[in-house]
Order: sequence, then C-alpha cells, then structure tokens
Amino acid sequence: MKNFNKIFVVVLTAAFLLSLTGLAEAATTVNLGTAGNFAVLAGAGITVAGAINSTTITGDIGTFPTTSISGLENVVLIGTNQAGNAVTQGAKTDLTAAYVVVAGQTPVLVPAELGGNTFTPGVYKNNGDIDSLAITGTLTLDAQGNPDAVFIFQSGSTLTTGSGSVVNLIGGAQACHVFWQLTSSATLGTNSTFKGNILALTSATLTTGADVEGSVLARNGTVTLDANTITRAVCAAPAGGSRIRQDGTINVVKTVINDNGGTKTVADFPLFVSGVSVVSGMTNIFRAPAGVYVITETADSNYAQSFSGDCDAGGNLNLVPGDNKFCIITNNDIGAPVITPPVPPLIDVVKVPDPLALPYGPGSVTYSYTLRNVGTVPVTDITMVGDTCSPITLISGDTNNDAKLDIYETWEYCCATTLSETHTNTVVATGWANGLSAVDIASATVVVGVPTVPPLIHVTKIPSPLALLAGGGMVTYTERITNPGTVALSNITLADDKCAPMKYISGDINNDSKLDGPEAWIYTCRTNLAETTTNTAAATGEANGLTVRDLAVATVVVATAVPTLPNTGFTPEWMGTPWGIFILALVFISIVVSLIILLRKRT
Amino acid sequence: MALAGVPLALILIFYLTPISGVQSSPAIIIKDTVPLLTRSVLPTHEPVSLGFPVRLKIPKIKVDADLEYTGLTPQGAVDVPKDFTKVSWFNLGPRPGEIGNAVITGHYGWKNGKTSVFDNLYKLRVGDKLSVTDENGKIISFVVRKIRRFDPKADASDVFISQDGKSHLNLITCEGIWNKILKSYSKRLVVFTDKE
Repeated sequence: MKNFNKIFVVVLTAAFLLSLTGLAEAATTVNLGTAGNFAVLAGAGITVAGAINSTTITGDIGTFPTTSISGLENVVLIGTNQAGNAVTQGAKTDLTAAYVVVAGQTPVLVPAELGGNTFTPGVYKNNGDIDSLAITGTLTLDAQGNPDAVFIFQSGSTLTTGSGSVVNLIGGAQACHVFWQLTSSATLGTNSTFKGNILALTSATLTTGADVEGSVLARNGTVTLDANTITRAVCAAPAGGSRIRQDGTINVVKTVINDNGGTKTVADFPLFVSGVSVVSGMTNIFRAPAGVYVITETADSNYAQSFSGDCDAGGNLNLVPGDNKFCIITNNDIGAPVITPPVPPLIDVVKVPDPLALPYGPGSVTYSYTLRNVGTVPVTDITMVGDTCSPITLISGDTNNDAKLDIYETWEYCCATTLSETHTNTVVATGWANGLSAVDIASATVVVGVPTVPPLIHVTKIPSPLALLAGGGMVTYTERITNPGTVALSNITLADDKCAPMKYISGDINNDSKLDGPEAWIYTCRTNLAETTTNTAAATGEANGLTVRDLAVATVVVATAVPTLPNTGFTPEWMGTPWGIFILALVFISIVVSLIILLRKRT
Repeated sequence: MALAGVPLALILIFYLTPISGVQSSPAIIIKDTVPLLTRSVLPTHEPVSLGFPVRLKIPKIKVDADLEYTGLTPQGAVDVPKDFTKVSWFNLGPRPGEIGNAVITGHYGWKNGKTSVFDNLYKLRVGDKLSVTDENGKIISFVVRKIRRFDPKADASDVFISQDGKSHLNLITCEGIWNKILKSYSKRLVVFTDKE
C-alpha cells in the first residue's frame, strides 16, 4: 500500500511540475531549520526605533555574533528573545544552510522591477542589467491552487520595495513558501506590505510602518526596525484531499497475552501515537514526513510490553507520505509461572473489494471479508474493526451457531460503501482463546477514476508448535502467500520481524516468477524461541505499477515453569492395610446392593 | 448362577487392576489433558527422521519395556505410566534422540507379587548404556552421564531443559521412604544420559 501511495504522489508531483515547464524553473521548498522559529534574526545586532510598543513581533528574535539589541522597549514580542544564546547560534547555522539552498536553485531571469506583475511558482532572478530587485506598486504571486507552491526570488544585490508597495498572494499561495535571497541587503518602504522570508547576506531595514508576513533573517549585518509588524509565516494545515500527499497512516494494533492469570483486554490499554489517543485497529492519518512517531500506551505494571510490525523495539516509527504503517503492541501478563502453556488462537482474514477499480469515477464498492481459524482451538469474542466502512456484517459461517470461530469454520462478512477517490481500506480482526488474543490485518485498495486494476496479496502464517514447555525450543513458521486479486504479482517479498531467513519451498507452478491467481507460494522460517513471542510477517508484491502488502501476526506461548517430577511410586503394603480391606469390603457391598436393586427393577 | 458371578468378577478386576496408590485416576487424567496438548504442542521439535519411541532397553538391570506416552497431570507434574511394568515417554518434550531432553518415567515399588519396571534403576552407574527403539526399528543408544536425587517439589529445570544443542534422555522414578499421607516416596531418582 505504501508504495502505491508513493507512486501516486510521484505521478501527481510529476504532473504538477510538467504544467510549469516553460513558465519557470521548478522551485523546491526550503527548510529553514530552527531559523524558521525566528521572526527576526541578525548577525550584527538588532535596532528598533519608534515609540514604545510600536513594533509587534510574532516569533523569536536573536542576534549573533554581535548580540546587541537596542530599542527592545519598543517591541511587543510574542515569542522569545533568544538574544545571542545557543538557540540563536544554531539558528544562524541553519540560516546559512538554507541560504545556500535557496541561492543554489536555478532561476529564470526577469526584469528587476517586479511590481505590476503576476508570477506563478518558480525561481526568479533579476536579469543582470540592474542588480537590485524592486517592488513598486503591487507584486502578485499566484499559486494556481496549490498551497504547497514555492516562489523563490534571488537578487545579486539588494531588494528595495517602494513606499506603500504590496506583495499580494493569490491562488492559495502561502508566505511560508516564499523566499527572498539577497547577496546584499533588503530595504522595505514605508507602510509597505511584504510577504515571504528574507534571507539577506548582509542586513535588512524595515522603514516606518512596513509590515512583513515572514521572517527577517540577516546573516552578517543588522536588522533595523521602526514601528513594524513582523509575523513569522506558518503554513496552513492542508485541507482534506490536498493533491500532494503530506500524510500517511498509522494503525496501532493491540494483542494481549494472559498466560499467567491476567484478565485485561484490549480496551484496558489506552494507546497513543506521539501523545495522540488512538483506538486499536483504527487507521489514523498523521503528517508526513515528520520526526519519529512514538507509540505508547497507558501501561500496566502487571504486563510486559513488546512491539512488532512496522515499529521498532521501542515503539518508534518513521512515516513517509503515503505510508500505511502498522504497529503491533503486545502485552504479556506477569504472574505465577505456568507449567502448561495455554494454546494461543490463530486467525486469518482476507478482504476482497468488488469492483477492484472504478475507472469512470465515484461509485459503490462492496468489501467481502473471509475469516478463518488457522489455529487449533476455537476462537471467541470475534471483532472486526474496519476503518472506513461500516457496518461489517456477518453473512454466514457460524454453522453451529455457537458464536465461536471453530477450527473448520469460515466466516464470511461484507460491507458496502461509496468511494469518490482511490482509497485503501483496512480491517483488523481480533479473537480470543485461552486468555490470549489473536489479530490479523487485511488491506485492499480500490482505484477510482483511472483504468488501473490494483493487485491484492494475502499471507497466512502458521507457527508449529503454538505452545512450548518452559525452556522453549525450535519453532517452524510456515507462510503461505496467495493472490486473491485478478492480476499476477511480481517481485514477491516476504520478511518476518523476528525470524530469518525466510526459505522459499514451493508454489511457482509455471516458474514464471509471478504469483498467479491459482498459486500458493510456501515459505518456512525456523527460530528458537525461549519466551512467549508475537511476530509479524509482511508480504509484498507488485502489479500495474502498484505495490501491495499484507501482514500476518502470530503468537507462540512458552511456559515459564518446568513440570514437577512424576510420582512414580507404588505403596507395597497398600493392599495389606486394614484400610485397603475396609475399602474393598465397601466396594463389594455397594456392588451387591446395586445389583440387587437392578435385578428387582427388571422383575 | 451367571449373575452371581458378576460381582465377584468385578471385585477381581478391581483388585487386580494395577491402580497406583499414589494417584486417583490416571486414565481420566490422560483423556482430559493429553489429546488437547498433543495436538498443538506435539507436532514438531526437530524435523528428523526419528519415529515415535516404542521400546526401552537397559541391559544392566534387565529392563526391556514397552513405552506408553503421557503428558502432564492437571497439577503440572509429568504423568506416569498406567502399567507398572511399562515405561512412559513424556510426549510434550522431545523424542529420544532429538535435540533437547527427552524424559521417560517408570514406576518403583512392589505390586501384587511383581516388581515395577524401574525398581533397579538405582543400580545404574555413570557409563552404563541403554537404548531406545523407535517405531521404524531404529535404535538410539545413550550412556549414563550422572545420577541425581531430587526432592519431589525441587526445581527440576535440569531434567527438562538443556542448552547444549545435544540429545539427552533422562529416566525418572521414585526412591526413598513411603509417605502414607502424601502417598509418595520421599525422593525422585533421575538418571541423566547422553546420546552416544
């Protein structure tokens, strides 16, 4: 799934960039780093003229290596005065790096007077006759509906804006994506309205009443202010369905192991993604790229926690735009050691959408879910959590109506919905047996508006044995990959987070290296388990330019106490004791009495 | 006349059936617990060509016994053979010859004028040899490495767990003084052996 979305992003990005060809060089957005937290950053001091409180600054201020700030009493600061501290110094370093990135982008040469013109996204530079860029009157920047569109203006010398000049943003353009790179200095005219981040090699001067939405960043020189309003530019959160993906999904799936007397269930462990509350099995959208997301829970001291799936052993995961990631968090109860390991449940769910594609646009889709018990014990308390389709209705399968998914039962569910855009839908099935939960995950993508049939893939994992005595032992995992879709899959991969290597056994009947519909590819992996372990296998395959992925989760229980020694003795004198004779007599009498009663009843 | 013989026959059967004095109903225990566990726990330990064990021979003490298969009692003890003349392989552990500690138990004590299979197990010494025959007729030989006596409730990790990646067979029986109240002997004798 994640690769599918990646491709989607790439295609859209390419389309977007193609539309600009001939207008301007594509501008790449610039990360200001920590300098982006500053509204005013200088190298040789900050001077604020004017009356007390006549300048309003939203964002941090700082200057380094010259740390002098004069006229601070004239500033209403909505932010932090970092002065010349380490934060400022770090920001100065980031500013230098950003400056180099901005200056390094290839420009289209334009007349130095920008005023009176409308520019589409791109990189622009004055054409060399006059080194200085100027804005007289109004400069309009049109993002053409793309809120992520980037505008870069480079000057071989200065930027000077006229009195009362205006930079006007239209078509969704955002000041956070506008950059002004000057090899000398900027001077903004009185009562002008300016948009974008100024990255000046030397200094910046804002004359009386000039307002800026953006950061005023001077690498080596001073920043001089006089009754200005400077507001650090912040990009707006993207509206739903923005054309360039800036998000991915995280689905946190909880499993619980009660093999030492514990009684907690999934709901007893509130789950969080970097502090945001989430529900087990539900797909959640998060910004991407972002820093590391950390999966946490309200822990219980009587349960040991472990992670599997796409997150690392500490519950951390990185999210790339378009990713659909799953983090499996297992809680194993801590209690009296057990000798007889409980047999864990094992379930398997497949999801198939009908149709797989809606080439002519929005329409209805029916998802069919097939749930099977691939373990050795009946599974109770089945739940099916779907992220974007409800209700998921049980159609058939509980043949004996005992509400248990028995070993040889196959339960069929379905759910209908309407899709207006290409969408990946995920279901998480959970069931219980012997105090342990089992989960399986199935995802399927339906392509809308494009005549592309998306592939499907399915993996089933069966450990043998499912339970081991204390000390553990060798476990063989058998993975079976099948293709429930209609197009053959190539580039099949299979990996398990806690077992390697994965060995291919058989299945490619026609030896074409593609997983065809009727085929089932079998792999095995063997590992020595010393303790109860939940692991996740992920299978991927490709077709029609899309990559699909399926996960299989299994728990193997290892007991924590060895058996006690057998009681192998006979009492030699048992039959000779008075008690023995007494018991024998009792038995004799009772048999005789019951026989008499029986005989009497017959006659 | 025929009917009158029934109670007598029942008594005789009851009297002669070798019900161990130390446990109430071994047959029922096996029925209740073993099938469930064997189905899920038994399948594989090491994918070797070894069959199920069928016979144990210890020439020095003239043991040549058929094997029963037993699991755990509900109390978590290794279960014992029903027949005091046979030995029993603990079928939740490895098979004799597989990597790990295979365990075979046998009774100790006099019964109806007959001796139990492991009455003379204590006579084994380090270096003595024994063998297990599997269902395919393959003979796996073992040699005694050490002999230890345990309290019945002692930690028996050594008996069941080994980390050396080798194949071991451990024989267990009772020893010591009969405790009428606990219906148990005071010690457990374990003979540790290594595959030759």
